[in-house]
Amino acid sequence: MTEPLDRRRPVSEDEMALVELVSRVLDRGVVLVGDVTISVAGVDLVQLGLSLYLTSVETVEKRRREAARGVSGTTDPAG
Amino acid sequence: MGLYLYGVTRPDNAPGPSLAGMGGTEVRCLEIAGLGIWAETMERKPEAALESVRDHHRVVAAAAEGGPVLPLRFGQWVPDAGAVEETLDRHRRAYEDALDRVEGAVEVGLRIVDPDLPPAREPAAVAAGAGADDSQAPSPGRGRAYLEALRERERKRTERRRRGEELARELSEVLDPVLRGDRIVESPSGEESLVTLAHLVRREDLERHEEGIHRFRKRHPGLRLVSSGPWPPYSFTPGEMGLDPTEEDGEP
Repeated sequence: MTEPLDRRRPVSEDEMALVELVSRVLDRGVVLVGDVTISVAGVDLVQLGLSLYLTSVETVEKRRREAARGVSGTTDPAG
Repeated sequence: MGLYLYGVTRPDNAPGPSLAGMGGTEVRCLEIAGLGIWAETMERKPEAALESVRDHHRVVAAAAEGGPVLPLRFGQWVPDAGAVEETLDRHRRAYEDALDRVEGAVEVGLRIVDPDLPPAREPAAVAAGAGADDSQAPSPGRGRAYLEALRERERKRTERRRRGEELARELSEVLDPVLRGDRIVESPSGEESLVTLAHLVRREDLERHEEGIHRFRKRHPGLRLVSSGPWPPYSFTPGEMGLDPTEEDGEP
């Protein structure tokens, strides 16, 4: 298990992209076989994703607006 | 030697000659039941780690570059191709229809956030406050406060979900000409997040999609709309497109 994340800490855009990636790869997509590996070794990916989501998205928006006024808020899936 | 599976595609969508998967071996397109499956030989199931997740996505994204693909969820390992042949054969039509549906399209992720929503108070904290005068002693006041706080939190969540669904519908109307599919996705979220969406958009319509989002933002200046992508269509599996609901839970 990972250490609990500090939810007051601002989330970076890289982290947001990572959260979007993890939520898709682990939680979505076609399931062909019933026995899907979501067990975790070293890093609790699901917990990491949840913790990052729970951190304010608004913080990311504020940082983005401050950094680049008027620039689109699209994140890079490549993370 | 088993197989790790990445995505369902058409048999003619083959990977480049030197594409390596998460195990470092060559990714191949296997033809099974008339469909193409991107797979890599792998001795045993992979463990979930960030690098593996990134590798899975990297291969799925490469498949999507070459043609329509239905990404598989992470972690699908089979002892041999025969283990999925029956499932694919039985639902071949649904997969073919789904591939037609996603051809030339990508997924855009959207999250509508209301930064002004007051955070819900934790019921336990509310109860502790109600019993502050009684030191550590249990009191009827604490129990009542706890239950009321639980109800209040649930009421706010329902209200938030309803508002999120209304906004999702409005956004779909604004973007209707460029949407090939849209759905609300279950997703972990903070208290300020109203709804999380996945849109299926043709690549050539991405600019018009972005313009529509811009119009929506102007209409709702108090809301934040965070987008991500474009992604391979992870959120548009055959079951979710209404083509074969039995696939949603992986049951053959």
